[in-house]
Amino acid sequence: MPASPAVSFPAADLMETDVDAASDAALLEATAAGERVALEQLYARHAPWLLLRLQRRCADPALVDEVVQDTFVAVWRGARSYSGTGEVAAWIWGIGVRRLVDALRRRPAAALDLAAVPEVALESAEERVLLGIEYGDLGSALNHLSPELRAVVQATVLDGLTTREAGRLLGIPSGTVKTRMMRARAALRQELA
Amino acid sequence: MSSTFSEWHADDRLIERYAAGVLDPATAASVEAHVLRCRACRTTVAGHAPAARLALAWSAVTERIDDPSPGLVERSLRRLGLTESDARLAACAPAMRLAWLAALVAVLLFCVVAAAQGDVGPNLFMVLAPALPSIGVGLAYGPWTDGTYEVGRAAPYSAVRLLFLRTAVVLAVTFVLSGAAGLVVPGHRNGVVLWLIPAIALVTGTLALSAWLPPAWAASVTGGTWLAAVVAYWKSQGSVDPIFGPAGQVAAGVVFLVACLAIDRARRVHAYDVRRFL
Repeated sequence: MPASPAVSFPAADLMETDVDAASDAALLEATAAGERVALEQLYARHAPWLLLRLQRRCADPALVDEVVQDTFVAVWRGARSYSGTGEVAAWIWGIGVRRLVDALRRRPAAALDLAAVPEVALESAEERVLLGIEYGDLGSALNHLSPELRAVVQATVLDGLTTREAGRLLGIPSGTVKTRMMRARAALRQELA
Repeated sequence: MSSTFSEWHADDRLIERYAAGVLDPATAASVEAHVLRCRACRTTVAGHAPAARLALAWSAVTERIDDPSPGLVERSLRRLGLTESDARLAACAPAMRLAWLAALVAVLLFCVVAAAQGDVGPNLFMVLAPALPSIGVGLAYGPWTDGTYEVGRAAPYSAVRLLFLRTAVVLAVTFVLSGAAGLVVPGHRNGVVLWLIPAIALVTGTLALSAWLPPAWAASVTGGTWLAAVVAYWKSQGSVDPIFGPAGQVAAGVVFLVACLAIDRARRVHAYDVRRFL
């Protein structure tokens, strides 16, 4: 894997090539043992997509950077709590999105700006095919939902948040999350029928 | 790497649009779901992430993991909604120091034990309990007891804010401990609460005097006045109970209000510059 341009790797106890070739799970194990290089490599691999993904859910770049920081500090301190099964990336996302929810609860003004969610863009034929592989008609159905309903589907189904966490992320009561989810389900069912 | 979804990979142009935030929601969700399972696509994504911001965040991460991890008190305070710096400052207040706590517990235990011997104990408790918070506030600030004194002198942090923050910590600690002691001191059915208003009045008085005197002196003045007056009353009347009757409580309330007005005035007139005494 080519190294990310974001971070350079000073070799400590682990050889640079070892770190490069190590699996995420092995790196996490080394992180739990206090290996700074292992965390650095995990950061190089996972911080970029985490930052971009969080950015799509929070309009405040400073807050996003802070959440990325929080997440990797949490990975450093909690590497031991990784169960050893499942994608490390998914585990990191689980930490990151919850840190975002916590950060937004402390600073609710910076919540997701629904107006900033881009409207449906026309995709190329190629992308339409790519899309078809993973989601089929669901993709276009999802795009036809109102931004409010789509945000709820995204937070609960795709981001794996609970109703309460989704409510905090979006700055709405959890009862509203539930009713919007019901309306989204009905709309999707109609669209796909 | 390998995924159940064949050899599909998000191409560079798609990722570029994803990174720019212009991809439609469904395709973006598709990319996100795929990236979680695909190391190759994560590498593609890394090429479009803001490198400078990531490098900055990484140096912040290393700084934070080099820091000693915050203690139990600091973490609880953070959970209560204090900012990181406020929590650190409050947690290193002398009120949180073991020796101070031990002394406080010893004083209160002495009252409880003495209470079993006769009526000296209950009286002693009622004399000391209202004064303890002010003494704590006086000690919470200054070169002898404040572990962060040197740092604090140079810090661009409001000295008044620090004083009030420390006061809140001292109040929380002494109220809990004295409240618990009040429960076991016999002879006062309402001993648990009667000393509260006088204690608050004394603390507010100490804060008000801190506008003109160093906090330690202010605490000596209020605490000393209280102890002298109440002990004198005790000697002549044989009991301090009447002090805590309705008239005494109203008087304490008046002292509290006057002190609040004085603090408000001090803040407006000369910015309440506690730091100049340090």
